[in-house]
Amino acid sequence: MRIDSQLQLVNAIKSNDQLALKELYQKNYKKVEIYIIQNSGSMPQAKDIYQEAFLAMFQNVKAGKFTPTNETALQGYLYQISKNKWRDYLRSAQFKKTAAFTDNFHQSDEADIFEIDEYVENDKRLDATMNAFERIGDECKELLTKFYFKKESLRDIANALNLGEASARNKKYRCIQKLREIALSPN
Amino acid sequence: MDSNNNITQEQLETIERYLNGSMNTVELKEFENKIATNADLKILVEDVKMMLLGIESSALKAELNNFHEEMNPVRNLSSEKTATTKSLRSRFVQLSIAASIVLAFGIYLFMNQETTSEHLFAKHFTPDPGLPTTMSSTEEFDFYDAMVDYKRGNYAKAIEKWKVLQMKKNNNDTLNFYLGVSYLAEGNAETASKYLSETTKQVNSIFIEDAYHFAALAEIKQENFEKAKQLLLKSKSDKSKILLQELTD
Repeated sequence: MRIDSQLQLVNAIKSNDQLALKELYQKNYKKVEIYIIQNSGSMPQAKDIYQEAFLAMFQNVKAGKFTPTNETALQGYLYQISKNKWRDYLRSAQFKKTAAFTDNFHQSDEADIFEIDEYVENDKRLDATMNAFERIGDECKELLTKFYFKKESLRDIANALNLGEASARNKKYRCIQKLREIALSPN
Repeated sequence: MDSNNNITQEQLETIERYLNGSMNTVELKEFENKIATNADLKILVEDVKMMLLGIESSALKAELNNFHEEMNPVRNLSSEKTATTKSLRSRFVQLSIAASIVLAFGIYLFMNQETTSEHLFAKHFTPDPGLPTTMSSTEEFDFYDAMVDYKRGNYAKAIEKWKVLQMKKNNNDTLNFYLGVSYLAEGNAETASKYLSETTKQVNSIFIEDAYHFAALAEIKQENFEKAKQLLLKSKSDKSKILLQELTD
């Protein structure tokens, strides 16, 4: 069954498989770019919207909010999130301020199959963590990226940092504390 | 900060093991029972889950630009130059002939510097070969549509189309670059400078080297040789080095 490949892809995303993520990103960009450019957008805007959509897709998959129902479900999902985000932007005050005209949407040959009302990304804790992450310093960013995103072992991380495993483990905990502290502080 | 905000190293690592599925069955059962009876723990687990998702999202976000850059086809200037259209080539010949005439008259009519300007410009200016237009025919694509005009040497037409796009997104390096080169091909060096300098502001642009080079040519055409030299110094391409050498001699 082709749907197996979708389940495999979902699992690959859940385990942050870099190659799978890269391939998914690269293979589906052009379609979104064409859609956005046909609908009053620019190439840089297409890139921004697509990256936002890609992150939202990632977060929803990781949070178990997406289940594939056919063999191109995930690709369709990514496209749909991109379209929704672009429409939101076109309806936004920011766009109306800068554009004196409103183009009609080009009709898409695909029905909008996904009802996506709620993104995980709207979670305030998630936003706060992501903002805080940018402020914890390069060392912590690198360590947490290696451990949580690249799934490198603590031993490998310790070796790369010329540390003992126990120190690396402790450092990781302190980075997490720093991240929480910044994320939970009002500003 | 309230007590919910504090987490011990042991708590963190236990929750991590729970979330990444590395607990054994007995431990998992026990932990699930604890969550069911302890509201604070339940909140803490949710918190850690969101935090880890936040870390992973941030790390992925940082990676996305790499994904994007690796996707863009590298422009192969030398191979595309050979594919330059006939009209572009004949245009170049015309330009060279025109430049030669100007050069001949220049000896009598103009100051030595002016001849240098025309000569250098004619010798070194060849419009950028443009981007490959590989869109399928059904896909209307304003940008590439204008690129076709550009490649045919219809610079005025390309300018007209790109300017419409440019009004909507004036910080696009690709658009600014090709608008600049088109204006230069049309002989409007002043306007060309304006667009090319916009491109050179975007330090990560893939056009940066070429943009400096064409910006320098635009200055040469306007006889601002010092300005041209400074622009050429910023470009690392061989053709800029050659031009700089000739300009300095």
